[in-house]
Amino acid sequence: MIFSSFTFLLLFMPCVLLLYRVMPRRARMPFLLAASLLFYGWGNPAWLLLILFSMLLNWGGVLVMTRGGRKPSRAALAGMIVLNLLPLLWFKYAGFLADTWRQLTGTGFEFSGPGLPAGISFFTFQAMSYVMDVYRGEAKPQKSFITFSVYLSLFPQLVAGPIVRYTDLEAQLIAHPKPEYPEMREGLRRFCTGLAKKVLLADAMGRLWGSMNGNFAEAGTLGAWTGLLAFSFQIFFDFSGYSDMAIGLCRGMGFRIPENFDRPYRARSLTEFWRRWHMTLTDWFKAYVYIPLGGSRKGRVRRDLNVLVVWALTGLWHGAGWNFVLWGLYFAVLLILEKRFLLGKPRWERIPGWIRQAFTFFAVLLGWGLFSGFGTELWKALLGGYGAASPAALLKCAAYAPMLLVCAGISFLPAPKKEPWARFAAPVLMVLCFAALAAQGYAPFVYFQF
Amino acid sequence: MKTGKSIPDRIAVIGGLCLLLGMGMFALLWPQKDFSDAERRYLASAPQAPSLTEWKTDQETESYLADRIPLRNIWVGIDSCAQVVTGRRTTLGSWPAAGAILELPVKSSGEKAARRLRQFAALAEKAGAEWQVIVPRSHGYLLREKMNGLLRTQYEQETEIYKVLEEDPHFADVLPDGTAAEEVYYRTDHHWTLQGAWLAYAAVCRADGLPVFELDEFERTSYPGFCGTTRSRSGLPVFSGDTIECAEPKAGVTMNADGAVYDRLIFPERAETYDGYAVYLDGNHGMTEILNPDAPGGTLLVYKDSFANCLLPLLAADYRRIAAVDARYYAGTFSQALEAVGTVDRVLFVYSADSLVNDTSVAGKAAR
Repeated sequence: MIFSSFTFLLLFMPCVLLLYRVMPRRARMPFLLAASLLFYGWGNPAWLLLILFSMLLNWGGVLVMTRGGRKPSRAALAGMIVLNLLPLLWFKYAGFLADTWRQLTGTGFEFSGPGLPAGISFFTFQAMSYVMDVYRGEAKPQKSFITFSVYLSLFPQLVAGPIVRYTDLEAQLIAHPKPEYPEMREGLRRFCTGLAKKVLLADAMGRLWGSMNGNFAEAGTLGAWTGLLAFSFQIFFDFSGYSDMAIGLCRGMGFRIPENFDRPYRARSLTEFWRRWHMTLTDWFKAYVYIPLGGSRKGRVRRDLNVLVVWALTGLWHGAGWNFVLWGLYFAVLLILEKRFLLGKPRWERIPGWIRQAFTFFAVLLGWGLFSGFGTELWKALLGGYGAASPAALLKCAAYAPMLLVCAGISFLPAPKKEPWARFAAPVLMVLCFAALAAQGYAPFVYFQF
Repeated sequence: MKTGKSIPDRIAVIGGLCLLLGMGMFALLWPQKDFSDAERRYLASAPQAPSLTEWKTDQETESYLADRIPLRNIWVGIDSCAQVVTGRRTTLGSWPAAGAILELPVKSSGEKAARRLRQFAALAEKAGAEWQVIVPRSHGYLLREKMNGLLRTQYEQETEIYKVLEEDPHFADVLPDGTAAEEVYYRTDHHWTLQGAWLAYAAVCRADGLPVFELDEFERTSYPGFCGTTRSRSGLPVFSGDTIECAEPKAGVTMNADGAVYDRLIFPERAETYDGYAVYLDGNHGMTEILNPDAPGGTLLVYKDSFANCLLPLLAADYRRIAAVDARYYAGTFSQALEAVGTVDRVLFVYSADSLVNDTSVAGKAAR
């Protein structure tokens, strides 16, 4: 089910929030599990088998690993990690690996893969964080299958994050929180903000990008740059909008989950950008890959190597394609160079903040070009290889210019200190979102494919 | 955030969620008609029983809810207005500009126009009759000088088509560049008004040496509140529609439309329906035959799209027999239509610029 669908907005969400509020304490977790499974299976009931497998594997596996209060062995941990990664490898990377093998060796057969279940990367990473936290002694094994399953499948953040570490949610899951009305109201406000980011901004930007990337020859240089800019806004508002909705819904049920975005396009360095963009994924890789590899404790060369490994994996996490690996390595190289030659250097710090912000955004923008996977066609258009834009492309750029400015304003300008309109904004945004959804239908979230 | 249980918070939360749920239940359970007059399309049907082998329940439920959400027309109108306000009027299905809601520009295609004229010439030669082609300049094209540069550029693409037509001696230029668009086109529809159709009627009759009757000499009726196709496509709310004006010979005319016989050419009851333009000739038909034994002219064969629906009642005053063929609804080819009609005195082709170059049924049936 998709947050921006009428099925969710008009039926699922009000039913679940109202019933959860009036539900007796002991019925809340089973109800939430049932609701989450309905939410997940609504798009394709077959996927329920996969998440049920993950629930049973990690809940049962951890209990077996820690039976009798013993410390889990490294072998058991490795076994659990491999078992968690196997479905991800099969569903997400099998087609990619087979294709790469075929291209390298000229042998093999066409294999497009079994299709990607929604959110598999997210709940697999959550499951692995639980296993590793228990292994490290940072969390206790969860004896209740229902409570653990709610952690893994909590519907607001199930299919596109934020990636919540078990330790962040453990106490709340055990407490079975009952949401108070002011908290629910705040949560619904946050949900409306996220829905507006998705439906009013991201989808509009997606349409502009979609109209340009189909024919770069017609888009020309201006159209390609405008389209890429639109894509950068689309992916930001789409994903941060989803995170807002997830955080708002969780709050509406009395849960607090971590923030995932902090105005990333205002970052003045790439290091800062990645502290503000998809923060929960960055934290995950830092806690479970970068630091275990030695982080920056083993010298500069090893640190740079660790950064390369982490970013290659980050790229692969985003998608099974060489463009994603290239995108990850692109950031790895830039981050290494930035750490070595810019950050903390007086000459860099003296540059006005807005120039550093523009420089950072430009590097990120080029990164989205790699991420998009459009290859040489896009770069040829960006570099002027197709000449000027056609009249139709010009018209599209002009038509979307006001929306681009709105997106740029929200992305680049500082957040207002006071928001007197906030109380009235939610209903107005909801009306505009309903109008857009009724007239244009909903578009899937970009991050669902990851 | 306020703390404690404040009543406004409780009302806001429970009220808001109940409102959403109420809308959902209404959309799901309240019986509604299956055709949307405003959008001119059939709405999604109820979801089928779930099947695990082919799971479509999610999409079917979503389409059903989206199509039947309470006050859907208002939601669509709000969205269209929001798009116009934020500069995206050209992303709508038709463009509000220069005081009207216009059809999208026809993409430049002089070559296709030339090919179509060659097909028409061959057909007329087969008929052994004089022929004329009428392709009115589009509403947007006539209004382009009142638009900004970018929009104007889009409509100027049509110039190539009109240039090809102007070079053909059989082209009747009934709406030359500079014609006052407000008089010859509706604000909310892509068709021409009675005034526009009369200009075409006069051109045909003059070319054939027949008398040209003034509009006052016809039986005149008018029907207000007409919201046409371009308005439907745009989704924009229109508070005052257009008025359809009609004219037909005062007596003695019969019409046979795909086998149904009538003694009139204007159908007032259709003015109240979603397709108000069907007031002329009861809408579109594959083959329409109009007889007027008292008329001075002979037999006229008209290959047409809906633009001619307003024109034929005027021509009925001058031709004893008119046979009109609409490629979209006629099963045979244009040659077969010619054989079915028999001897003709004159052949007329009436198409919008869009139909002339883009209608595949015209292109296919004229070729054979």
